[in-house]
Amino acid sequence: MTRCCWCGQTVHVPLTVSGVFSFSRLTPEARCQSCARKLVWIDPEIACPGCSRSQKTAEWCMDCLKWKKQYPHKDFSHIALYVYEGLFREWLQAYKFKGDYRLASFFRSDLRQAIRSLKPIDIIIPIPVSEASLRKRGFNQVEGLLEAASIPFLPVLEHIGRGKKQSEKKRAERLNSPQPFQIKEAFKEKIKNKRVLIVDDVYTTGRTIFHAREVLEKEKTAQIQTLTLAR
Amino acid sequence: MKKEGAQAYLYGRELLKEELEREIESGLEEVLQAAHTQKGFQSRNGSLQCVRCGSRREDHYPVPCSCGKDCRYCLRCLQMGRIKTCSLLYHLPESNHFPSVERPVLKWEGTLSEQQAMASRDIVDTMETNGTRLVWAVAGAGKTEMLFEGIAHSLEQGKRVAVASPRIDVCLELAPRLQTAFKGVDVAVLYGEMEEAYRYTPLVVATTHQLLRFKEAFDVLIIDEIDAFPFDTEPELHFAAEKARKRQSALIYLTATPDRHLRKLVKRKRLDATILPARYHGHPLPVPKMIWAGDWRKTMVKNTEQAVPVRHMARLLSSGRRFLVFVPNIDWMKQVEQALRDVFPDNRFDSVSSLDPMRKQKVTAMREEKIEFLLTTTILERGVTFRDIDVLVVGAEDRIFTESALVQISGRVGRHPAHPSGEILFFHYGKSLAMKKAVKQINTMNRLAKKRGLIHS
Repeated sequence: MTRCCWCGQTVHVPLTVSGVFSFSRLTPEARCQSCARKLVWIDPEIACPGCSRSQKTAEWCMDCLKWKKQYPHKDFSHIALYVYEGLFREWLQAYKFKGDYRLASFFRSDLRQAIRSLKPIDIIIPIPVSEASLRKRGFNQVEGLLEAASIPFLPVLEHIGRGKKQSEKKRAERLNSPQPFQIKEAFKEKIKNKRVLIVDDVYTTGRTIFHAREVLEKEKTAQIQTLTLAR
Repeated sequence: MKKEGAQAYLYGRELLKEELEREIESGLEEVLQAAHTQKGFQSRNGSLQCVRCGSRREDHYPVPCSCGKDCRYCLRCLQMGRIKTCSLLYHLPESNHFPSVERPVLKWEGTLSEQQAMASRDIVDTMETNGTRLVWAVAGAGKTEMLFEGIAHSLEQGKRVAVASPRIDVCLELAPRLQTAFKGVDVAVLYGEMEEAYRYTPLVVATTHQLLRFKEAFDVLIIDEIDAFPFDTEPELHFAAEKARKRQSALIYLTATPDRHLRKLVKRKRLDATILPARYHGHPLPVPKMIWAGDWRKTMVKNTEQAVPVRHMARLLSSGRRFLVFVPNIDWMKQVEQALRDVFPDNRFDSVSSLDPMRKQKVTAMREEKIEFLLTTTILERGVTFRDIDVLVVGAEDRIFTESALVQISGRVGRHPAHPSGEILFFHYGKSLAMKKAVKQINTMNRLAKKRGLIHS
């Protein structure tokens, strides 16, 4: 019997015929049904194809049109799973800002499923956090999520930016922030001609994801996909 | 702020650096240097314990950390800010550096009833001698007023006093009353979502959770509603209370319904107790009636009009009575509410629970007599006073209605001197032990009050 890592309720594992005959280990969900229902799932049919923003149609949103202008040669199609509101916000607050590391497992099955549904991937790269954040929080929240989901990854990027965190800035400041990432010397060869996936927790303005794309593209990666839990 | 001023933040407290950073605007470095430090976790009896809340290994969860070693953090007191194996806690000893108070410090001019005066004397004695005392006072005995004299004495002696309760609503109700009674004394009110910043004050009103942030601070600690959730189930709150008071200090427990453990201590003379069996208005406590209601879970929803509790509700409504209906859980309450809409289409009523954002407004509507009855979960079992109501408990044998819950619920009836009586009806499908004990407790109190000559009617 496991308990929901968010609300403490007992999680019921439904026993299905296909589940029994798959002969795989039964991994119970880390969260209960009632918490899962409180998350707002982004329906790709009515979301921006560029950034997964939840809207009324599947048209490109204003922000993405601007990104297209700024990066004209690039195709991008970011995947986000949930709307950044309600329970998701509360969860992120508790996990990332209060540092309740146990909550990393809340999204483990979502992450695994999402990655399985993408185009083939060779390397998964988490967005790094700054030295200062790492000292304060003690862990990289994206690596924590991947670890909780048992997804192998390579910490290819490092954060060399200084100053305020993205989450403390105003929108205009965020969009104008300079490139904070670089590729660790040791990994430069490893990512050549590889299909990579960049993973972060939340897509807000897109600035972080595009910065990460930029440095990786310079190293001649074969293909870049991007994924966040929320938008 | 002066250096002394900045240090005062830490007198008698135990805080993480992050908490201090939030509170102190200037002079932080000096405070940190002057402070005593201690690791966040300490080995006690061979097992690691959280220094702030006393939790054991099973509540410590591993986390990758920049300290490099196998680091853990405490899940139990996480809501107060994360404390890790490598965290440091800062503390400065309580110095009682308060401005001297104007005498008499007590500005309250009411008079105490006979039994209140007796209890007040007991409380003063206990505070003088740094003892421990249980004040067991029935709902409506007037507990707060009996504390005034003792608090006044303590403040005049330069002592630091805390009044704590597990319930925020109790704190929020107590604070203004203390502020008025001790006009001229600075009172800090501490709870989870407070907006004011912490101040160093001789008188503190706080939730029991906030006591986790203190260490050997109080000469007098008073805990109101000691038996209320979550104090009854969370061991770290007991730890916090012990940690927050000085080694030489007085401890006063207040409750209308002490649990078995406390009652046993009293019986064995291990704990001094003052028992107030009568209400301040001198009328006996109304005694619950137990009424068999059959399978209430079913009949209330399926055959509502014929259900025994509903027939009683109709009777009360037709004689113009207003009442509370206590039910065991929220889901069932919603079903019953639906069914009752059909039976009482012309009556104004509502339902309320802990999950209800409109809770406050609905209770006010009931108090202002804008609605005739209110369906409720145990959320309204204590702390709320209505002028003249009856109380029905549907499914009184349900596990959620403990002896103390039932006594508290019965305590809602007959509070006002002009309306000292009313009906308390326990509807059941087989009596529970808790029901019998609750009735017995109420009868015992009435007998005791009569014996002491406290009943005037």
